Amino acid sequence: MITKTDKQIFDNILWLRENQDKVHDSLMLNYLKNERNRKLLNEISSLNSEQVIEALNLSFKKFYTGLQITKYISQLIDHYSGNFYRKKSREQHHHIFAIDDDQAILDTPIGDSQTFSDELELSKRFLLDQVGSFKIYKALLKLTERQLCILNLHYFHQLSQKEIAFKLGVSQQLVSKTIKSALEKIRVEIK
Amino acid sequence: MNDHMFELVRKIKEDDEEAIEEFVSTFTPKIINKTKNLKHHDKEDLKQELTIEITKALKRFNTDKAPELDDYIKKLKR
Repeated sequence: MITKTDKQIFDNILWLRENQDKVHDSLMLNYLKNERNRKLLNEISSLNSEQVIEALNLSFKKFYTGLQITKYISQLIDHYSGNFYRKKSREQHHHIFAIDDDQAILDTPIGDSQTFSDELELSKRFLLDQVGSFKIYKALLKLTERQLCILNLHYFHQLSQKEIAFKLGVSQQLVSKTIKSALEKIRVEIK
Repeated sequence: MNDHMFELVRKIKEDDEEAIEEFVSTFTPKIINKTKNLKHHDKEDLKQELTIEITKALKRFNTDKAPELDDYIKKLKR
């Protein structure tokens, strides 16, 4: 027995069957492009119309949801990649600022009591950029951050061991030892 | 195609690893296009992050939001 709502559903689907060539809605056109869906639709007046309606409903739900998923994931990829590119370009900018900071260190009068260990960390690139030999460059990369930083201050910025000790807030002996061990490490690496 | 997507998402919601792989592979051309201007290790990073994000997004995707065929036809009749 067909209840009123079922009758409405039936009528609506019947309408679709009659008008399937006049539909301009691209979603519906694509849905009807599927041969199985079209066949189902044309079977609406058959004996088991209830089953046909059920099958049509299910296939429409899958079709519609599949479309939504594709659209959603496609947007997600666009959005996420956009953010990723922005993040990368920010990091690159940060790098440029790091070099600017480095220039500031060079301009800072020696003996300035201000601590700037963060900037000193960044300044190690200066030494790396100045190295002509690839062998030495590779050796420098194997040093610890601290070793590289101190070598940089000593050889590139031409600070004395005492000045470095003062800037980093460590003892002069430690600076001396660090330079010695770093040079030893480089010697071993380039042999 | 869309039916298949629906089935894949159903499987992904049940933690089916192969379904995730298959789903992501259908988006490979788009992902390659998005990563082509990146350095090699950034490329790999983005690919990996996208796979994770896509999986997360699909797991929370509500597959019950589609309108009834009947309601959609009513809209067309207007």
